[in-house]
Amino acid sequence: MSGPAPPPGGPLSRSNSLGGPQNAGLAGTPTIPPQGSQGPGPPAGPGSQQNLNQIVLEYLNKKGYAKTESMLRRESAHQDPEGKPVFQKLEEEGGNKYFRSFNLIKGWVLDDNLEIYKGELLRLLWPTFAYCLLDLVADYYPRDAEKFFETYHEMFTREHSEDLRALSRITLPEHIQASEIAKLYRNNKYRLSITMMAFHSLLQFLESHLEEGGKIIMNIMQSHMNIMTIDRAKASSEYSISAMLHRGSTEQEMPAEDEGIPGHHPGSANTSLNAPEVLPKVQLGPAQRESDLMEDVRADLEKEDAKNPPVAGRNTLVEELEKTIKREPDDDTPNRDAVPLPPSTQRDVMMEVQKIKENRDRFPIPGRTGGVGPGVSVVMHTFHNTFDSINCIEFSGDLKLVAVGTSESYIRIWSIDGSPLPSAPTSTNPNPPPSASKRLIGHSAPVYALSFAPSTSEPDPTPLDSPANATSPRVLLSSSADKSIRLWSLDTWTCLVAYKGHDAPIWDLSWGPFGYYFASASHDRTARLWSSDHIAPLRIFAGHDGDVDCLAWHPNGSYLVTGSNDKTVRLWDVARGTPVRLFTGHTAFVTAVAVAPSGRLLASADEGGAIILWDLSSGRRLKRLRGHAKGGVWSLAWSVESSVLVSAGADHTVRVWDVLMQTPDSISAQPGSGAAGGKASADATTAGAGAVGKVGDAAPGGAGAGGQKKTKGKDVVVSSDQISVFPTKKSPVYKVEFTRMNLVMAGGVYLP
Amino acid sequence: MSSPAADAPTTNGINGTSTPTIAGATTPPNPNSQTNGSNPPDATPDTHNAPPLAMPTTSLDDPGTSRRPRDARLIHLILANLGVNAYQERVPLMLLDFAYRYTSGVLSDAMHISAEAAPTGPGNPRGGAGGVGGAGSTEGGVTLDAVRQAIASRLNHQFNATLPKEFQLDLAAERNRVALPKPEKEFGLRLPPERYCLTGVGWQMKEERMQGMSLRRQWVGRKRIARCGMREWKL
Repeated sequence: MSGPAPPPGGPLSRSNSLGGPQNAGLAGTPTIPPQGSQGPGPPAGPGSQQNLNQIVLEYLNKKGYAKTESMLRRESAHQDPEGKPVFQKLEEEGGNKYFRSFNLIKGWVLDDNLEIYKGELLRLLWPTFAYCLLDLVADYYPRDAEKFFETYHEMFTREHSEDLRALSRITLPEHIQASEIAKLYRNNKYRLSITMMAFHSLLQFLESHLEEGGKIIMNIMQSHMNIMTIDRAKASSEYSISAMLHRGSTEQEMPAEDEGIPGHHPGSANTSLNAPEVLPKVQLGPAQRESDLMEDVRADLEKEDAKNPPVAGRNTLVEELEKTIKREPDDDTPNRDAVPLPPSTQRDVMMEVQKIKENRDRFPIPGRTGGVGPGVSVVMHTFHNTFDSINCIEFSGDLKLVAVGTSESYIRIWSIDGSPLPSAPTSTNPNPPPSASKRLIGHSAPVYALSFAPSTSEPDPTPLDSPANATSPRVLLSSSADKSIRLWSLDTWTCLVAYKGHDAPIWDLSWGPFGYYFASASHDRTARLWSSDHIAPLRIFAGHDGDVDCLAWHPNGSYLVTGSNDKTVRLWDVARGTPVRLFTGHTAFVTAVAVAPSGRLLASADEGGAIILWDLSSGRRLKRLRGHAKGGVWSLAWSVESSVLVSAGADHTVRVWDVLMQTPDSISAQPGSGAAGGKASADATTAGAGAVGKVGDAAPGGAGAGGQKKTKGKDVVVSSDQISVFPTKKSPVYKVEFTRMNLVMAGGVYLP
Repeated sequence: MSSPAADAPTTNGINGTSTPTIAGATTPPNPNSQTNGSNPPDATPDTHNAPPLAMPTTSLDDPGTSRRPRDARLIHLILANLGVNAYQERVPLMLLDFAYRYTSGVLSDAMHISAEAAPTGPGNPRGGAGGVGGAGSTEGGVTLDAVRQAIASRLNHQFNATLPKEFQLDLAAERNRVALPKPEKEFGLRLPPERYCLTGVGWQMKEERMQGMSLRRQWVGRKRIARCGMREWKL
């Protein structure tokens, strides 16, 4: 204990340098340095600091060392009677300054502030907390950093639990270099939108409290944050007084769309600071098919119409076809040459014909009328005695097969109706016994995703001219933790090709809407586009900061949507491999995405149970559907009309949602920027406006309230646009799917 | 259970007094109670030790007054700090085993690095001194830089699965510059060129067939084998 005691909470490395000058100042004196007695417990009294100083000063005075005396007086002026340094400036307080600053702003935001600004200023606390913590660590105050985290992390656990977990381990500057999240925060600026008035009052407050900590906060805001001020008069309704008043009352806040580390204009995938506000145009219209194909389809439909004339009141098939290919404005249809497809075959024609037929004969789900949701039927398939080894469930497009991928590395396929599967004779067994299930063995690690090739059920009188024309799926893709994708033949039940290219386990996989192309999402933070006749990927979609967990194709096959661990959802242009939209707002890992058949809307779900609907063309959030408990929504599906969404997940329920209804959660997005806004988004807003009046009627007595009752006291608020909920018995639901005739197929596993 | 117990003495090498007791503890799976038994002065009532154990003992059985090795206590404190209040008694042993293996691995790596790979130039006098001294296996042979390097190399190969984002973006840009190839008309399933497929004929080697075969057939068979060299083999 010969050195000076470090200042309270002082940095470990600085204790010497702080004490240095004091020692130096007294170096010439032959007496004991006054600080020497600053032990752990010297009794106050004759040996105390002040007395010693006094004695020394008297001694110096007596001896006439005037210079030394004045020096000692000057040096000791910065110490209080106990010998501890007196801080005159905030900067000198060491780690404590961050505590003071954060306390200052927290107190102001939570209490001493106009209630109306509280909502948006609350958003300021998280980045301030994160950057205070990281600065503490970078300045080498490990103790203070730990204490800071302990003191304040409670208030952020709901929204930032993942980030907090990562930040809690960071206490030394070296950790910052090693930690992904710390690097992310320190190398990027946190973007935050605040209305002008709130920002001014914040600045005013900080300026008037510069010395109590305002300076630190200002510094953090300057160096680490990108605060966008919004003029309320010009901004969208999200920032209107009424919206803010309303939000003030709701407890559950969610981050704004442009907030966060990849700060960006809402929807825009360009995260640079001076990105243009205009979003790149996306062409969301239905794909333009080959003219040969359409002619063949029309001829076949005419033949079909002549053979089986429709019952009274039904459209003929040709009329149905006309309806589906109603000409969109040309600039909304993606160019067919950008993502070239192979020339169509007889199988394609038969599939198109069957699709038109099924579309006509489907169970129509009208938009919500009179507060009563459409009744949707769910066929639930439950797997028993699985011992939790099943990772994924997939139904084939012709609803004849169901496949599961297991953590024991094999794939098992059943025929849904229990009929024996066709099996080719092998050399060892020329006459295999009929069996309703098959095992596909080849992967060397757990199988995480499966995808049947696009297929439809066979046309009614099956024209079995050639097996190549059968509309059954014929091939199955699987992806696994062994980094490979395998293509399996469903005729011979063997593996045909192994596609390798990913660097890590592959989490998700999906065939494009017209076959030929497929996409995969992997732990290596990329999604990749493949075609079945190339063994190397054709496109690499890189840009996510975390695992890509799920993906979905846009129905026109020109865009791909991926959801990631970094809590963002991105829309990629398949032809160019560039991101065109970036959606932020999730507070947990994104676990499922699905694009509506209309091509205009996107649904994404996260681990926290929230589902968010997005408008693709304008890139804005439409609304949030709440009701699922924590644990993840694992599958989403849209009805044919794009008016009903079905979700299923770990909370053992299948839930049906009304897409068109507006709830207090929904944010009336501005109509799409430019012409790309298009028809369907206008549809959505007008239909939504029509539903506004009904919110009041539906909420108290409607199906939404019924759903709330069924959540069995879990503290989950169910938003009022839930139409119905189907609870299962201890069976998490892995997969839901709408058939082309609006029946819901669900697959789950009984896990007692 | 036996392997951690066997490793424990080396782990607790610092704690000289407890080492022999644990080394002797082979039969009952509770090193803690064994330590009790060997330290009669503060012996706690060893009621839980008497009956044969159906379940592995947990930390809850420990009244907290027993004497344990220092490292075991440290592990207990760390677990308690992380919110783990109850655990089986073999957990600390397993963790100690892991810690020992990790540190000894890092240290031996560091020794090799400082002995052979450390820069011995004049720019790095510490490393140079360590390098010279390390060859003689003195204790001063491991430098801080070498330890850092050892940890970093371990990190890279154990945890860092993903490539840096900039590299991925470059790679993606390069790959995405190529326009999507236009597929030609083709019949049947669209598969990659045959040599990349797993559709080759499965060859079966049967001793009796080989014996019965004429020389000529064997030769033909070998030629075909050579042609299918790229395919997957099913034996």
